[in-house]
This record gives sequence, C-alpha cells and structure tokens, in this order.
Amino acid sequence: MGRRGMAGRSAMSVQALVRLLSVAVPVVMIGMVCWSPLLAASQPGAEPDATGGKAPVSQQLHGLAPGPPAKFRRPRELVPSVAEPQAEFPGLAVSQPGSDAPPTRSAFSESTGPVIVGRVLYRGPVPAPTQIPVNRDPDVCGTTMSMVTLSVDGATQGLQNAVVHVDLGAGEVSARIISATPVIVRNKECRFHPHVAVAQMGTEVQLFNDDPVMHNTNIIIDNSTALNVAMVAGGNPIKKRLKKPGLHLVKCNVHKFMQAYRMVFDDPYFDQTTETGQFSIAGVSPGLHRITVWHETLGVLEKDVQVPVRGTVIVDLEYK
Amino acid sequence: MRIRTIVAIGAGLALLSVASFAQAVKPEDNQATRAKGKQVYERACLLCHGVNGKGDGPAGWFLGRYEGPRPRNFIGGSYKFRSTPSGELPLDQDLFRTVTQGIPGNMPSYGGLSEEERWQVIAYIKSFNHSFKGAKPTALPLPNPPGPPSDAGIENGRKTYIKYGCQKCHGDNGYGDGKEALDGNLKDTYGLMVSPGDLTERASLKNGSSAQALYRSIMTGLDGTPMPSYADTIGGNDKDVWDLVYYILSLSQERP
Amino acid sequence: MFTRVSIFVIALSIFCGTVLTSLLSPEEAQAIPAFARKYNTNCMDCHTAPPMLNAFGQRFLENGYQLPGTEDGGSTGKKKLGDLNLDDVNQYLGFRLVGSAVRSWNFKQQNPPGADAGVVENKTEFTFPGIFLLYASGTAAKNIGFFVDVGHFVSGAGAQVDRGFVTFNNLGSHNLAHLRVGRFDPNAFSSYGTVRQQFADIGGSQKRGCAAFTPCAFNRVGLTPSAFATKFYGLYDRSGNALSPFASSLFNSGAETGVDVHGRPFGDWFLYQVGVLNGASENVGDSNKGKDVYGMIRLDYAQSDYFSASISGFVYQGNSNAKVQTHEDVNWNRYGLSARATYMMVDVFAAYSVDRINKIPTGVAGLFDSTATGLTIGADTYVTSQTLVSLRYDNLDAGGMLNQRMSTSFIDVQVKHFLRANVAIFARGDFNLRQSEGGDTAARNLRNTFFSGIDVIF
Repeated sequence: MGRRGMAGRSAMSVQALVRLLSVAVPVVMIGMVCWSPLLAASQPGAEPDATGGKAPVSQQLHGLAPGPPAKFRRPRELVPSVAEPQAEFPGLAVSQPGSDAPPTRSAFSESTGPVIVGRVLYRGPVPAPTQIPVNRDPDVCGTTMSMVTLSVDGATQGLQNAVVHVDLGAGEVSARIISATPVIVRNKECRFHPHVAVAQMGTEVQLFNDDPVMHNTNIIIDNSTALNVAMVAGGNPIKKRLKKPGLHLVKCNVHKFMQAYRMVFDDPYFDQTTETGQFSIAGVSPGLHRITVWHETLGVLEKDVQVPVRGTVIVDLEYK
Repeated sequence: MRIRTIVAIGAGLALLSVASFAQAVKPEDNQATRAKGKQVYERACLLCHGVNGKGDGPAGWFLGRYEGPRPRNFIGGSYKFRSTPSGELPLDQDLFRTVTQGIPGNMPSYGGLSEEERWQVIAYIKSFNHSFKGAKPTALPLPNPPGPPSDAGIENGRKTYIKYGCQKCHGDNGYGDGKEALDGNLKDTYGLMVSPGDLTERASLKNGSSAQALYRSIMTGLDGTPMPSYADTIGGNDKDVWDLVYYILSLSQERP
Repeated sequence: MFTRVSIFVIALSIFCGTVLTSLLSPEEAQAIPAFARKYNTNCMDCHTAPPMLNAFGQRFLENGYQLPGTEDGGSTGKKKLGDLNLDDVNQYLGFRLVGSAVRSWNFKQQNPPGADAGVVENKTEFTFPGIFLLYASGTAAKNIGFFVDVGHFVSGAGAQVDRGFVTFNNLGSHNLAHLRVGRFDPNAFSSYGTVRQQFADIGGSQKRGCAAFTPCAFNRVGLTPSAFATKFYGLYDRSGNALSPFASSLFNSGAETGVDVHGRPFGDWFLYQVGVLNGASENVGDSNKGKDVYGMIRLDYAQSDYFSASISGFVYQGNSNAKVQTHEDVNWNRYGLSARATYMMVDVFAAYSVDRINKIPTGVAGLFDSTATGLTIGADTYVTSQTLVSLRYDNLDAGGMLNQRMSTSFIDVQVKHFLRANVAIFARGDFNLRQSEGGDTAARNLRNTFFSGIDVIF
C-alpha cells in the first residue's frame, strides 16, 4: 500500500537515524568522560585581574580608580555613586606664575629643603549659600541650614578649603614621620567641623559628638566604608586611624544634610588653603613636579612647578 | 600468601578508617588552593559575582534592580557580615559562615558544597582584594550572652533602642519603617537605596537572628550600609547592648 | 453546564477575593514560591522577571533544580530525623494564577466567512484569571530531581501544558550529562524557552462541531509566538482533530513525552541536548511506533559586566507525527534558531523556525505548501524596579492547504507592575499588522485586543 510504503520508507530512515544515534551518542559520551578531565587539567590557574593596588595620588584626587575601561560600561546615571565632587572642571585654564613673582632663591633664612608657597585663587562668580530645609531634630539642628561650598576672600580672591598636593613621583617619598596632630571630626549643631581637612595616612582621627542627639559618622572612600561608627548623645569620643589614601566623604545617615571631606595622602606633601587661599608645603625635593589642587565644587586643577634646590618658590593657582 | 593478603587487607582497612576519622582541615591559603577555588567560583559564584569579582555577573543586576543591595564586589567592596571592627576586613570564619548559611532573601546557602570546597573558594575570593595580603584581622570581643532576659532588662533595652537612635531607621516598632527609610535616604556606599532590617522578622535578618548574631551586628556595624558600629561609643559597657538584643528579640515574639 | 460554570466562577471569585485582600493587608503573607522558600532567597536570584530565567536560573534548571556548580539535592531543604530524610512540602509546592480580569476584542466584522453564526465577536468582558497551574518540583535526593505540573485552562483552546518528569543529573561527572525522563518541555534549555513567556498564550477559537479530517474555520485566531507555532493549515492529529496553526508544537510544544539528555561537557560556553519523543503529543504506547528525535546546541557568553548572551539552534525530525485530510501520514520537521542577550534591565530575544514537510502525500499533491516559517522577536525592560515593559513581534508565514492558509503578523505590548515580587498586575494590547490586507478570514478580521489582569505566584 502506498501509504504504508511511504510511511515505511520514512519510518525506516528515521529508524536508521535512531540506530545511528543510539550508537553514536554513547560513543561520544564515553569519549567526553575520558577527555574532560584532561581538558580541565590543561587549563592554567591564573591569578585574577584585580585593581586593588595603590593608585597614584594625583589620580586619587580625581576620584577615579585606575583600571581597564569596561567594554560594556554601565551609564553612570544608572549606578549613582555617592555624591562626588566634580572630578573635572570644564574650560580649565592654568595661569602662569605672575611675572612679578619669579621662582627665586628665598629671601628668608635657609630651611632644610625648598618650600612651595602660594595661593589658590578664584575670581569667578560665587553663588550665594544654599539654604537647605532641615527636617530632623529641629531643636538642635534648626529649621534651615546655610551650606557654603565655595568660600572666597573678598580682598585677595583667595579660595578657602582647597587641598593642594605635590606629586614627587615614585621613589622620592621622604621619610618624614607622621604628624602627631590628629584629624578632628566634630558633630556640632548638626554640622561636621571642620568642613574640609587634610591628613597623612595613618594619622589618628578623633570623632566627637557635641550634640544632644545621636549622629553616626560614616566615612566612605572608593565605594567602601572606611569607618561607620555611631555617635550616641553623650557617648565617648572615638579614636581611629585612617588607613587608606584618597578622598574621604564624611556623612551622617540620620541627618542627610551633613557632609564633610577628609583628604588623606600617603606622603606629607600637602596643605589646605586658609581663608585667604594661602598654602605652604615644605620638605619637597628639587625638580619639576606637578601640583594638584582639589576643591569640592570647582574640581581639580593641575600645574607643573620647577622647585629649586633650596629656597622658596611661589606659585599662584587660579580656577577659571 | 594468605597471611600477606590478610595483612594487605588489614592495612587497607586501617588506612580507610584513618581517612574517615580525618577532620576537614582548613586548607592552607596558597596558589594550589586558590586554583581549586577558582574552579568552584566559576561553577557556583560567577553568574552573580562576575568573572572579575566585581559583583556584576549576568544575574547580578536583577537582585536589586535599580536599588541595592547587589552581589558583593570582592575587589574593594566593604564586607557587611563580620566579627571585626568597623572598616576592617572580615575573618576567614566570617566568610565561611556567609558562604555556608547564605544571606536570607539574597544569597542561597552553599552548604551543598563540601567544607573543603568552601574554604577553597574563600581563598580565591580573598585574592580579588589586595588588602587581604598579609592582613591579620582581629575580631572584637564577642562574649556569650548573659543569663535569660528579665522584664527590667527588656525595658532598659527599649530605652537603649531610642538612645541609640535605632528607631530613626528601624522604626518605632522595628518594622524597618523609620523616617530615614520611608524618605528613601538610606543608601549603600554605591549610592543604591537599601532598606533597614525588619527586626520583627527574625528569619529575614541577614547577619543572623540569634542573640549573639544581633550583638555582633550592633557592635561591628554593617560596613557598606548606613548601619553603624556601636562598639566604641558605649565605652565597654555592654549590658545596655545585651538588654537591647533581648528587647529586639522580644519585638518578634509580640507579633501575632 | 451553566450551573457548573457559575459554581466555578463563584468559587474562583471567592478565591481571588481572599487572595487579593490578603495581599493588600500590611502584614505581608510571607508566602513565596517554592524554590525561594527552599533556599531562603529572592525570586530575582534566578529570574529576570518571573517566569523568565536569568543566567543563574537557567543553570539551576539545567542542574535538575540544584544550585549551579553544586549537587546539593540531597542536603538543602532536607530535615534528617533519625533514619528519615524529610522534605518540607511547602519547599516544593507552588502555584500560579495568571490571566485577565478584563478582555476586549475588536474585529473588522462579526462572523468572518466560515465562523459560527450568532457568535458575538466585538466585546469587552469582565472575567476571571483563566490559567491556574499547580506544580511540585525539587530534588528527591542528590542528583535526582522531579517536576510535575497540572494546568487548567478555563477558556480558550491553548495547549494543555501538563508536565511530569524525573531528572538524573551530573552523570559521569559534573555537568557532563543530565537525563530527563517523562513528559517535559523539550525547549527548556534553548535561548528562548516555550514556558517562559511574559505574554500568556491566548488560544484561538474554532468553529464548533467540525467533523474529523475536515477543515475547521476560526472564529478568532490565537496569539502565541509564531516561531513555536504549528504554522500549517490542514494538518490533523490521529483522531482527525484539526491542528491549530497557532498552537505551540513539536520541539516548542511545552510538553512532550520522551527522554532527553543535555550537558555542558566543555565548560559553560557550550550546551548540547539530544532527545527522543513519542511525538504527535501522544502518550507511551502510541499507535504510530515512530519516534521523533531532536538535537540542540547552544553557545553562551556570561563573562562580562551585567551582560550575558546565547545563541542556539535545533533540528527536530518528526516521524509520522501528523496527518492530512486524506488521512495520510506526514513527517513534519522543524529547524530553528534562537538567540538572547541581556544587559542590566534590558532583555532581548528572538526565535526563528522553519517547518518542512518533505514528502507531500499524493492525496494533497499540488494543493499543499510544504514550508512554513515563524519569526518571534521580543524585548523586556524594567523601567523601574517594579515595572516591566514587554514587546513582542510575531510573523507567521503559514503553509499547508493553499486554500486555507493565511499568514499573520502581530505586535504585542504589555506593562506589568509588580506589587510584590510574586504578585503582578498587567495591561496588554495586541495589534494585527495585516488588518489592511485583503481577505475576510479570521486572520485579517481580528484588529486588536486589550487584556488586563493579574499574575500571582505562590
């Protein structure tokens, strides 16, 4: 019968296929059982590619970690990081040192090594302090808080609370001992005091709570917790050490308007500008070095400076 | 011949019995252990924790979606569940506990791996973060709980709950509905929103729900999250902390 | 029949009422699906958006419901009490209730040619979720897994998805070979699985009282992935029932009886699968004695930040697995390709299949188009942590009897909001892209639809 014949023919070809598979599949599987251990043994056990190494300090100031660019970079807005200060300032222009202040031998007595002094300046518009509504513990924190992020001295145009660092390059780190002055973080009237501070790695940090309410001092660096301690009202001061270099963000989780910065370096060549924007860094070595300035809203500024064998070199750095 | 056979069999049995008595010893942290750990990691951990240990495996995003927490970044991320002070690395035992018990609601328990495999994968995981090299993390003192709770102790615990500011995040009744949580202010160190624990649901507490586990959470804090460490502020007086622990445990018993 | 239906409707409404009120109460009913209970973890460990699996969930499924990279079937979730090794029943029982509360159909004309007269087509109706699935799944012992599901479709003619099978895992060495025996979804491991749809299958509605082996016109066409569909007009099963061109079938049918083996012998990047089925959706001891066979290969990439991708291809050889209206047997084969890529919140996937009937029976020679293809392209994305937007495009290039076949193209859009991880509400619209083409048959008659309902998994 045609139908059966046709079914029979196709049935036979399927049967032949099934027979073939019933032989081939076990043979292949036996082959794989023998082969897979050989394959596994031949794979090398490599160290994972880790980027936990120390970044050059100038890169730490930029707030970026080194490492190969990810092929599928996730857009930054989808993974918002902790409020970072601006890493780059567009239209950056670095001013030359004033012609009336050339780098010369110092007029002062000889120190043990050259000194870099100068000012950080800003002549641009200064926004009025932001008024932030305070909605926690108004008896202690008030009802609004005035946030000053850009503080410029009217007379000199000096920028306060900028952090200045000299990168001496590898192999030129001096053996200067860690300063005994501890870094302070004081919780007072729902603000951190001081707003910006600098320290060398390993310095002791002291935390105080002067308020009758609970705070927590949450210090974050590079998306990880450096320290997160509760500061109970009337609790003891806390002493710890800052062990990583870089920009530390200080926050309180029960008062979200509280924020401060601690910049930590693994060498002693740094300073923080005064109210008039002045800074001074001693003990550097002679040669051509890069100065990096950081400010929480204006971002990063870089300049090369030629440091003489001895004496003082005066540098002006201006944010545009 | 027969005697030799018997001796051979006897020696074999003796060897077998010795082998069965051998404890699962924690293998030494060396290159061979890490290589074996890498194989375990690639089978069991990679799909969430990522091939480079950054917590960005192909299945990793869906855990928190637009919020936290997401799988742990082993390269530089803070470890939440530790016995060590705030800002410190965890002990190996802390990592072993996490791998074995899992994290309720987030990570399944990998007790199905043998003990040796778990130690091997921990050795590999530590190799992602260079800070572990040569580090010797030390645990905080974590004593056993004192005697059973008393009514006065639990009342003191309730007062401590407010003094320590717990209600600001965990809510007045411990449901995790404190003002900071409801306002969406609580973020992890990656800027992703996280929720405080519901203290009334013991099984959901990620660091464990025994009295010791609660004590540990309060004292060490959960790094990477807003939960702070209370060890330093209490000045060695941990009676308040134990009363607080018993008060928290009483919150879950009160639920209908 | 009316009484039965109304009693059922009342019962279902009481059930839905209790379920929904308990869900809205602040004390969360902590009921979560079985595997999340067993492993004390989150649905999203394994799912992109339930029931679709992420890379971790896919490996869990392949490993016979054991954690990827482990063989924990004998230990996790088991309680050892003396000699007994007991399971917690709630750790392997779960159920799903999904379907529409509102259904709205829009047609060009009532009763296209051949359809039942007097059937009102353009309508908006309030109804109750129509698909209820009860399943039990887990591990009986180390490397022995099982799955049983009982599905009930209240309305529509969708394929009955009743599966029951046992798995034997990690035969030979870890991930070398896993065996499934019983009634299972052959398409469980490809890049686009049959039972993992965001859009529920909407069965077509055919004319009532069609005689065996005679063409049976449609009142309304079905809405199912074209790549999985039968695609041929004029095929019948052994009893003479017309096969719906829209029903998922063959490799993609969702439930077939047989045996298959799969594994990743060379590492995570390569998966193989081979299987033998009774075919023709028949049970063991069928009458045709011919078995259908298939093989599938899949390549995976899961090594990059938040990104995974896969591509798979299969060949399915049928053996007398359908008949034409002259009662002659045909061998109905399928060749398919599918692919998927997932990056963070976006998931895109596609499947394309070509069905061929190589030897056209003499009875229908010259009247039968022996090739049909189906293309399905879809995308899901989470626009917030709780809201999923899904799109699907289907193009069915029909084959079969020349005087019956009608191709279709549809676009489906759905927004699904998760009130909790396991409770979602959705709104969906389907649009016929060919409605302006000529022809009055059902395939051109359906203009668009609107559905809104719930998807609840416990």
